[in-house]
Amino acid sequence: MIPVYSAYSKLTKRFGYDSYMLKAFKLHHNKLKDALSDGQINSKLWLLDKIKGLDLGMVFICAGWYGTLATMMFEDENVYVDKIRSFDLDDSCWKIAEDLNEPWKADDWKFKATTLDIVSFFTYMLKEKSNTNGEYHYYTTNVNGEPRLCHEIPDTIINTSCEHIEKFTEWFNAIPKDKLVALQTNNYFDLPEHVNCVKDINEFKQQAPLRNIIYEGELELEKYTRFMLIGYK
Amino acid sequence: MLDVFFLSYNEPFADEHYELLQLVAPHAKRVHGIKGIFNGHKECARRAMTKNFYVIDADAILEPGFEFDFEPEWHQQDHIFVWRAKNPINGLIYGNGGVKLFPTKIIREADNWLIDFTTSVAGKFKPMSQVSNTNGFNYSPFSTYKSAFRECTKLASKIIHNQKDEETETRLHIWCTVGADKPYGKDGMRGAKDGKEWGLKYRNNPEMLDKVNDFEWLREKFDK
Repeated sequence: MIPVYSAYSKLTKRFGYDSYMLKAFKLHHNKLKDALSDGQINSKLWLLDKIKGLDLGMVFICAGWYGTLATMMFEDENVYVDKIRSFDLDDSCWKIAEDLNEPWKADDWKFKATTLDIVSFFTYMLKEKSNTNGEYHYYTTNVNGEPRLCHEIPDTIINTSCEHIEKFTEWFNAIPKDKLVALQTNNYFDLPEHVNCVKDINEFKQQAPLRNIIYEGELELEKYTRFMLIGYK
Repeated sequence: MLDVFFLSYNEPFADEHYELLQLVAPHAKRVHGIKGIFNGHKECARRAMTKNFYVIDADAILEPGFEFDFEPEWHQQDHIFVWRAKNPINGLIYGNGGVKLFPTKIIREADNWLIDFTTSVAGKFKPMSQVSNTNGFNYSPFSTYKSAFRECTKLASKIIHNQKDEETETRLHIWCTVGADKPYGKDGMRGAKDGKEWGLKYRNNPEMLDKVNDFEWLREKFDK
C-alpha cells in the first residue's frame, strides 16, 4: 500500500472516519504524503504513548509542519491539552495545518497555526522575559487574513523535527526553565535538510540537557533511528 | 439517576465543596466524619438507594462539564469505575483521587479489602478516560505529605492489579521530582520519596504496606 494511504487508513482506524479530515486529506494529499508516512506516524504515536496521562496545558509545537501531531493529540483521549499552537518557518504549512485541525481551530482557537522562525521567536522572548511576565507575544492571522496579536504562556514545548533546526542550541537555550519539553531527532544524516542529526541518544542528551528526564528512548525505523527525550528543562 | 455521596472527614473547605457539588448534583448526599476509608464507603453503600453509587472526596474540585450521568450496562454493574483526576502539584492525570462509581450490594457485603480500597474491594475495576476533577489534596503540609506517601507506597510496591511497570515507574518518578514550586509541593515530594522507600522496602509485606491507611502513623512519619 502507498504509505500515505496506509497512514490515512491507520489514522482513520485509530480515530474513526471523520469528514473534515477526509476533506483536508483530499485537498492536500500531495503535500501530506511525507507527513503521513509510516515513519512519521509511528514516531508521533510513540510520542503520544509517552505523554499520555500528563497535564500538558498550553502546548507550543515548534516546527509543527502540517499539524498532524496536533490532530493526533486532540484525538487521543489519553492526551490532555488545553490548546495547541503550531509554529513553522515554511509559509505553506499553516493553511494545511488549520484544515487538518479545523474543528479545534473553530473551537475558540483551541488550535492555531502561525508562520514564524522559532529560533528568533524564542530568543527574542528570552530577552524580553522581564517585560512580558513569561508571556510569548506574536502575530498570527485571523479568518479574514488580518493580523492578530497573541499573548500566551506555554506549559509544554514540543519539537519532533530537531534534526531540521540549524541553530538548535540557540533555540533550546531560550526555552524557559521548568517547562515540560518533548523532543525528537534522528540519525538520518543522508538528507541535506537534516542539519542537526545526532549519532545516538547520548549525543542528543548533551545537545538538549534536561534537568529531569522522564523518558528517553530510541525507535528503530526502516531508514533510520529516531530518538526522543521528554523532561523538564 | 444514581446516588452521589460526598465523603468528608475534617477537610477545612468541605462545606464549600459540598455546596459547589450540589450545583452539579443537587441530589448529592454527604457522609461526614466517619473514621477510615472502608467505613466511610460502607456508610455510603448503606445509605444508597440505587444499584450503583458515586463517591466524590471532599478535596476534589470538579471539572467543568463533568456530570454524574454515567450508568453502567447490566453486565458491568458489579464493576468499580474510576475517573481520572488532575494532580495540582505534578500534572499527572490518572485515577488517583478521581470520582468513583461503586456497586452498592458488593460494598454493603464487603468485609475485606487490601491496601488500596478502590482496586481491591470488588475485584472488577474499570478506569474511565474522562477527567472528573482536580485532586485538591495539597491544602496543608500534612494532607499533601499523607496523600503522596500513600500513593507512592502503592506505586512502588506495585500492588495495584494490572498496573504496567513502565507507567507506574514514570508516575513514581514524577511524584518524587516534580512540583516543588507548587503549594505544599515540597511536602508532597517528601511524602512521595518516603512512600516510595516504604513501598519498596515492604513490597512483600502486606501488613506493613497497610500502615498507609493508619493516619496517626502517617502523622508520626510526617512529624519526624
